[in-house]
Amino acid sequence: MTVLNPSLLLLADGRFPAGGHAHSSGTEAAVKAGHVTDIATLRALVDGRLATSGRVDAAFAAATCWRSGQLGAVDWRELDAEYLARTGPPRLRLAARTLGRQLLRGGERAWPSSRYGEARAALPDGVVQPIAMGVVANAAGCSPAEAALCELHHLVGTLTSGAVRLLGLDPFDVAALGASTASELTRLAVLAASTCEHPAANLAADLGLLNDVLAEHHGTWEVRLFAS
Amino acid sequence: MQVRACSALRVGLDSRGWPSPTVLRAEAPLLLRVTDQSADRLTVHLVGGAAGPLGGDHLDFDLAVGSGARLTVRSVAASLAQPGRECESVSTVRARVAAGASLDWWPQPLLSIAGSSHTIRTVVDVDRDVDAETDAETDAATDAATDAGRHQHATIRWVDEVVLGRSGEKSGNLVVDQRFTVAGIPLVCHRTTFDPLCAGAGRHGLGRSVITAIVLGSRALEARSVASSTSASMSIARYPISATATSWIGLGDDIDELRAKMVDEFALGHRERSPFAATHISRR
Repeated sequence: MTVLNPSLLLLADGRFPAGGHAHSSGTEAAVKAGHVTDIATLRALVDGRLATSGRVDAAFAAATCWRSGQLGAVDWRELDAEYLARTGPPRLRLAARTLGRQLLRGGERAWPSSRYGEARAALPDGVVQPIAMGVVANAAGCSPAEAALCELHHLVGTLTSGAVRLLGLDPFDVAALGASTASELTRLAVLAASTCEHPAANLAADLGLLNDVLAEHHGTWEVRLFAS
Repeated sequence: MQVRACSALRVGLDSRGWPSPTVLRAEAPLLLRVTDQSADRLTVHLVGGAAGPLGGDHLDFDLAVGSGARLTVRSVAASLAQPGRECESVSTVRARVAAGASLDWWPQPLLSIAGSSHTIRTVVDVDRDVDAETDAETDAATDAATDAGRHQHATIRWVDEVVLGRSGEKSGNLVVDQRFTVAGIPLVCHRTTFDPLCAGAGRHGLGRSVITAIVLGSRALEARSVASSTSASMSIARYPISATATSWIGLGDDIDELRAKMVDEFALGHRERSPFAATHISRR
């Protein structure tokens, strides 16, 4: 019988020291702007983010995981340039690099590999989080689909746990919302894995316009609970 | 009946050093009219030669601006994405902008009408080096452009306006693909999907109007981002995406109010009122 890779569970665990607890991934800004007020509107936020930035992040995590598992050199700069072309707002880029750095640090101690050093050397401005996830997931023995699934799982967890803290929603309702995304997460992870060998230019490029606007807006607040 | 149309416009410098069309081929429903020409700038209007795009239509527009040439593209009226029996319609704009060229693209809005299914693809390639092909127009013209010292960077303002549905109606399905590269390096790569059944948080909000803009070139705006979300119905942000490129996103209900705010408070720059009334253009 096959048992799930325990390293995947560790990597998917919100307690893994990757810094995600400091971020709401846009929930705080959406709450403040009045777009998210209850479970129904949180559901719309989660659905929208999975269809946009979630798809992109899953595609880049899967693509990096697959490339890291091959023998040759990884096209780090091309992956990074294509990811940044999909991530315009400077504050989203900053958050992606901050989270990427923290994930690499935790991952490298847990699952050493030469790919960490290669990625850092090729990308001196920082490694964005989905690319970092691909590196760590490969080192942890995960497949590209598992890297994508982990990325999507963290997005849902970050959005929903942020909403619990910001709106005081019933944690059981929110957990049920998270569970209801399972089939969509599977579908998106399979989709991301199906493009993992594609050139970086052809990876998913879906954009949520409102998220990009709100991310820049959020960054101007003097007082905020979350870093992003 | 479905329409397949390919229009093309290439702009170089003529023997006087004026920007002028070296190729101008227009097929209905995507017609082109030169509406102004000066030593400094060529202005071309897109003229809808028929209702459309209708479902099933494939409209291609190839655009090239050579070194030293300055081109302004406008349109005389909003375009309407309408349903047709052949399901999806696709319009593709490819623009190649040479180093030292200038392109100002700001047509009237695209209105996505209930029941339509339309995809717009925009591919903009900016050369880093002087474009040999378009430079070959005349040596004198190239020298003039070089003397003017304006060949170092391409200057682009690319503004797209979308209105989601007629007043009080739902929109159609609309996909907007955008890819800008500079010397082969990706600057912007986005796919925005507008689906009347999936709007709101996480996507583009609930407003009817969307304006996106990219300005690229030597006149880079200050590196500071500005954003305002004055109400749930209007949200605007402007931010740098590279050392020489700036991006705007505006979301709102009323397209004219949204545009006015982006121009007045977010330094998008003005789109002049067209001096060419529709009757004037039809006589040319």
